[in-house]
Amino acid sequence: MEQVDHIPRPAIIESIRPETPTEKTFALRFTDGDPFNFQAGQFCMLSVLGRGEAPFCIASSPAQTDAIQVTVRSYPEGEVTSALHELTKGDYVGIRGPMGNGFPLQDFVGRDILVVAGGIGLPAVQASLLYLLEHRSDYRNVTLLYGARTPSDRVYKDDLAEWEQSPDILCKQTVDMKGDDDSWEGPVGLITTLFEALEIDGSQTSVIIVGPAVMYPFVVAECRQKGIADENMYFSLERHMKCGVGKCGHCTIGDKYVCLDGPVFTYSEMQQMKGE
Amino acid sequence: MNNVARFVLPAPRLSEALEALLELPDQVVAPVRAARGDVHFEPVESADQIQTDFGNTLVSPIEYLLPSQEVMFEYRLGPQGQPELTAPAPPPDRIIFGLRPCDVAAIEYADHFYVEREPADTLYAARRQATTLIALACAEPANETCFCSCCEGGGPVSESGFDVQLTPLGDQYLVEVGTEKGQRIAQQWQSLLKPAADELLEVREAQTRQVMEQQLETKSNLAAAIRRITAEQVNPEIWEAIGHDCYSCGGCSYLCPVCTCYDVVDVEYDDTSGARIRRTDSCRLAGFVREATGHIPRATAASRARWYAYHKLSYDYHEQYGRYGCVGCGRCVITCLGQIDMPAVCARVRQSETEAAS
Repeated sequence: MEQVDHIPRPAIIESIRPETPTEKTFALRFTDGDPFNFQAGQFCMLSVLGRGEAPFCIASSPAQTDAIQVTVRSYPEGEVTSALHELTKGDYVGIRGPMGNGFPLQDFVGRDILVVAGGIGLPAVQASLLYLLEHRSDYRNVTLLYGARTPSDRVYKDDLAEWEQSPDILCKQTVDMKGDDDSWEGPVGLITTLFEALEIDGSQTSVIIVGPAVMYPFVVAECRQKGIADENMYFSLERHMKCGVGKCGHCTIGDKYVCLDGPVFTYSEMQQMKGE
Repeated sequence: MNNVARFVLPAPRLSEALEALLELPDQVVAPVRAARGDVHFEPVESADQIQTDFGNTLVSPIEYLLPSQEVMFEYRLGPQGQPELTAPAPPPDRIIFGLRPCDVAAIEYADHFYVEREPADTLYAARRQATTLIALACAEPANETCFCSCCEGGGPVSESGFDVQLTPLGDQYLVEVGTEKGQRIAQQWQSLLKPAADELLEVREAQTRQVMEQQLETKSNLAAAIRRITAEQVNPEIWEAIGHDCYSCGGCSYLCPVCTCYDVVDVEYDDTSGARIRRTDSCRLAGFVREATGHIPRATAASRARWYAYHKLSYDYHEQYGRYGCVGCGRCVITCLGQIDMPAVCARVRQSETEAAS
């Protein structure tokens, strides 16, 4: 019988990379020697002992099993996100997981993949992007559309710069506004503007969409416009969570537990959800 | 429940049976009358503390399986900050005597929710494994707020879920032994028990029917509410009105023996040690779904009232849990300041159906 492990596994912070003024990426190495096997799109519960535990998406490649990366935005009201931002290299954290269903990337083999990420949504699709690039020959066209509020709000700037030059992936970025960054030479406009020049075969495309909820209806409309069916649109949803295993009751939407039945749902499934 | 063995215990010999329980190595938890007259489930030392003449307790004895607060693990940080984590000690062997059938039904629900529905919760499972349930069925409704017979699998007598069940029938108890754990108790009571005649079941059946007939109105309301909530046919104005009457105090869910939601927090003993604890939480409070961003998906009392009813009464959740989330114990009726307890909500939902139909 599958059991809940309430006790987190210890991991040490190997490095901390600032992404933006409010976001940091932590590389966490497990110290117990056991592999951590997960699928792209699954999440983990991250602990700072004494401060608490919260869910974060795993933003490193599933091929790496001795360490993971997570990107954390610090919120003033977020006890755990604040605590994580106070930690330094060499500090310990606790990890439970992996949890949730992940993106069904094996089911996408032979298809075109469109990834649409907004702001801090990129870390939630990063493991998928890395997996797709590592298994590049299994897929047809791979496209990433990334939108952020301003150029300096973008995470993973080095990866994005590399992907813009890569023949393996079509990477397009936009920002809502230039802000105080005069060096930005890319387009300015909402993420939906990136769809205009996009040439895709909607019937052959599976799309992964993660970003702020306000973005979703507009992206869905663009995807439908391109002929992508609702059941081929995959979202990763976020909710307040305490257990990650379908018991504590915080993450329910309708009759679904985001932690157990999700966090990945198709748009068809989301339309069936009863209630907020 | 198959292969239930039935016996009779003469009522005057109950105290001997209770004394025999106390001879076992298990901790015995039973109804005890406190100084001001309230009855609580508490560990007992002697048989004369144990009450059998009580309605039901305000706090369900499920508290001994799902404590309102429990340690999930303790931690100690080494000199380099490396954590050493310790799981809680195994739970004691425990007999709970005197549970009402509604609370037995709630424990059956929790068994499914926490153990059978994977992944299994190890803390609950260990405590459950160490616990023997001796139910005390109701000869009449325990309180005027009871509506157990309206609920699926409910009623003044348990049909399953107990290890031993005592049903008062005049000057004797019908003693039913349903499990291996129950057989251990029956063995302890060997000299006190006599074989039960089949007619006793008929006597009990008549007694049970009398109780159930008093609860027919609520039964119809509950059935209608289940139907309408599952089909999303409840006028949103009904939830607005119920939300208006809700104080968002969480009392209904804190006392509900079926409510399973919990919060998890860390507590620091000092700079280098502490514990992670979980404690009962309530979806009737706005903060229940508050995210780190400050966003609250169910921000209104109306949306939370709708959610509470949907979670307990929709067939969508019945499919996952195997039963509805109400056992008719009536504790929400006792505690609700806004008179929007489960029977009241069902009545209002049903009334809206009647109005819509006419």
